[in-house]
Amino acid sequence: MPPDSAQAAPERSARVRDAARVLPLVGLFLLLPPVILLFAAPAEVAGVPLIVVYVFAVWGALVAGAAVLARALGPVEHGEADEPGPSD
Amino acid sequence: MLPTELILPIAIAYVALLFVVAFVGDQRARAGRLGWLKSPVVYTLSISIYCTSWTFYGAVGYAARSGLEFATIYLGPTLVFVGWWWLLRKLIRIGHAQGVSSIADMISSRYGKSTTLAALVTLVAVVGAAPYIALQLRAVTVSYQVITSAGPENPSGLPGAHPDFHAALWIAAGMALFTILFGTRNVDAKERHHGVVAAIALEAIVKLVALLAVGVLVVFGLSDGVAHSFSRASPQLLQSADVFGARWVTTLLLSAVAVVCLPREFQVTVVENVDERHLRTASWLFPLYLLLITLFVLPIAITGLSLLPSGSSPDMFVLTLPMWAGQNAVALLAFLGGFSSATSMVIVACIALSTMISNHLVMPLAMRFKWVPLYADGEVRRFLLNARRIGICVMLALGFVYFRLSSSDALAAMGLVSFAGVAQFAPSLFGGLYWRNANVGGAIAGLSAGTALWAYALFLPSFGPDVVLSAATLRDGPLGLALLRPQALFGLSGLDPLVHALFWSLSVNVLLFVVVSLLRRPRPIDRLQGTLFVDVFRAPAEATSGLLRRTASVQDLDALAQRILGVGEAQRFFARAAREQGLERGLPIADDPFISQLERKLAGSVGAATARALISEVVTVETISLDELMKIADETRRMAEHSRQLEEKSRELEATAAQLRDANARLTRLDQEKDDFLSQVSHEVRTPMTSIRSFSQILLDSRDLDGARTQRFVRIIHDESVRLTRLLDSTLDLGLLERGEANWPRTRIDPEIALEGSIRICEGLGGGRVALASEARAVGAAVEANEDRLGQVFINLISNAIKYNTSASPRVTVRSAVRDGVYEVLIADNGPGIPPELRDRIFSRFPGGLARSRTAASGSGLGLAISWQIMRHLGGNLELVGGEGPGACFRVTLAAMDSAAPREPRPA
Repeated sequence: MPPDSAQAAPERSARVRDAARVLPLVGLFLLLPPVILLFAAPAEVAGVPLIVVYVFAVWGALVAGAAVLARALGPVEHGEADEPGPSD
Repeated sequence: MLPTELILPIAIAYVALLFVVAFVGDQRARAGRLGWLKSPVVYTLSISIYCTSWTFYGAVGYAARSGLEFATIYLGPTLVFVGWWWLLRKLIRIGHAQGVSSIADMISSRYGKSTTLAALVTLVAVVGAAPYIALQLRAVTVSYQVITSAGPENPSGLPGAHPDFHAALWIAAGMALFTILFGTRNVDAKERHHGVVAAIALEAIVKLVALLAVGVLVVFGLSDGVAHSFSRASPQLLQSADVFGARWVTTLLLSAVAVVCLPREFQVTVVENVDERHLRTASWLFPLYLLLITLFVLPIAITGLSLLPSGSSPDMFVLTLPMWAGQNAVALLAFLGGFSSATSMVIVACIALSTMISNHLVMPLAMRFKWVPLYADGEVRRFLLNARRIGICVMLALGFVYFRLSSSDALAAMGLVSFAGVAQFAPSLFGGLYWRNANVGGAIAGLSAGTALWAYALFLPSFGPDVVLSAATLRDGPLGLALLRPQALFGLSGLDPLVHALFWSLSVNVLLFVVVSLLRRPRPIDRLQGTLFVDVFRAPAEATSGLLRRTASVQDLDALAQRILGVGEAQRFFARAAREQGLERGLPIADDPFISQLERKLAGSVGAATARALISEVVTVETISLDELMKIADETRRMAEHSRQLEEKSRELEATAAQLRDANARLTRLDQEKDDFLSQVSHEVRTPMTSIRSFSQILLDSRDLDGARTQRFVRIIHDESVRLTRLLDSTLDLGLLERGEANWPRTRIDPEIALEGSIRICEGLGGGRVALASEARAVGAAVEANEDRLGQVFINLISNAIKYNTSASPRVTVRSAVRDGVYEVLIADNGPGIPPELRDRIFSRFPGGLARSRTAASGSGLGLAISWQIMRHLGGNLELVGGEGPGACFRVTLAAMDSAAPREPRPA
């Protein structure tokens, strides 16, 4: 491992962990009223109602986000210790 | 339509295929070749038993009735899995660490391995699962009826109100048999059911492919693409903003909770998890699976509503649309998909629930009432397996009864009743993971009250009027008490029944859980387990292993293990433990790790609560180290302060290091001085002692000494004794002075009187050889001092100046003056002076060479040190100044007082 990445690794993994915590909250925010009500309008995207497109787009984005984070969390998870503490 | 003669063999062949897969899976697992069985994809597919017939058939029906709301059932789990870092990771870590075998085991383990709580959770899970199993039975029964009797001319199949209960009974019996053959071969619930997992992974693929096939047929066969299929939608189905109200929020959160709390989901996600890392893949793959399986739900629902005649059951659109289109192959695939989703759910749910029934309900009762011959080899094992088999039958029977009695014909509505039931676990389960003070009292109170409210407000009414609750009770409340109307409790009317029931049950559940937890003082075992759960990531295993100390005889443990595990298994376990302890043969030592290991092993068979009860019977002493516990509990706080303390410490350390260097140097010097001092004192004492000893020896030995000689010798002894006493007095004096203990009266005196007296005393010392000159003198000075002590200083200085003056014409000069409020005396000589290397320690004890050279005359070598101490004590100073001439010059200073009565100058 080059020296600068060895130094950046803990800092980066902390950000990845935080992102993993935030992602579901963002999803919840987007799927609950009032945000979702913004899209419950009688509009269509390529013949599909806007609200359907919105719900499935958020869903797809969550899946994609989780996949990216899962990949990024791979090395982090085994370093363990999301909370500061003696790692085992 | 497809004839029964075709459907039945296909269904049976499909089941046979599942058997083969399960068998091969088990064989591979037993041979240790897990291979693809251990892959994260299989793990994810097994989690997808979340998608049951409810999803396969019911989602379309749900969408046809309520539009987009059906999606909440899948969005909730999506959020939970996407947010795995919060909850699932911790659950799985704890599951592995504690060897958890079911959700009841998990909850009871958290709350001090309470048997009562385990039994309560099991009861709630069993009752809550009944509607869910009924849903599967209904789906399989109706789909079987539809596919065998409907045709293009009769596409709606049978009206949903008349399912064939006769067929349903057979289906239930078949499923029970199927599950028993699959799931009750191992008694250790912790041993993973690799075969079952492989079979349900296959079923997961089948149901996804089947639903996608139907979807593609509907969108591209029965419509011209996605836009066309959506164009058939009635405006109110999708455009209504009412969908996103309380019910949307409720079902979203409810499904999020259910995906964790459903016993079968807990089973596949936590208990059957082989590798924690698999969760990482499942975190996005399972949401993706959910996304794919629901992708075509809306088009199918819309197309079914617009193409099929009114009155068709929307729950069966997945099956009736292909049949209506004459696509029998797709219809058959859809039937198999629905069959797959139902059977996989029933198998896993029954395995999970029967384990809970046998471990947490039957086993504690069997122990209490001695139903099992505990001392026969393998009896407990057989008993447990039979209990599980009966448990499976009971579950299917309950499902069938619910199906028979329930008035609901919508699959989703039945499923939601179950969801709301298992949601009652949420406060205890989640609270217990993050809240240290949650305890068993709170969990039992919250769960009981929540479940009671759920049963009253949702479960019992779900049978419909006049089945369990009379129509009058439903409408007006029991005995006409309007406040207790099941669907408008305490006057809260106007809410959706599901939202209403969840609101009351979960509010009361959480409230009691929190309040009772706060009121009750936790037992040590509660605190121990609480710490193990809450701090699973923080407390290292080795830190927690020593918390629970137990003593038991290894023979008792052996007997216990043989009763529960069977002789062979127990012997293998004990032999392995003995080997691990490094013993050649015989029984292992019953130390704490071994007892814990055995308890976990037993927990695999009978559940944590029962295992603890069993172990407790043979344990003679049990202590839980509360101090250790508190230490771990304080870990968080400690860690928060850790870095701050580190910084502070490093600063302190630097300062300390500097101080230490200083102190070390001082100590070295002091040590040196002390050594010098001791050797000097010894030397000083030795010289007079030697003369005293030798002269007294002479006096003792020689009896014929004349009087004059005797007199002389006695005189010498006396003089030497006096010298010795003086030396010791000086040493003591110096010691007192150095410790600041000297305490003489200080009065206003004229220092010149003391000086004059000292000069007079010293005049005789030089024997007339030394010229003692008194030059300029202070007039009328006054200081606050002790006259005797001040005189002692002057005498010491003057006598030294005289005694060590080796000059040819020795001369000592004494001057005094008051300058700037300071009385000053200068005593100078023209002797050899003080060598430069001694100047800075001239006032310490025995200042080396000087001391040696001066002791010969003075007899103590402490004079200057004492003088210096006296002057410091009087608030003045004594220092060596250059002075004129080659000799030494000492200066004594004291603060002068205002002289009220100036005196006449004294003659020099």
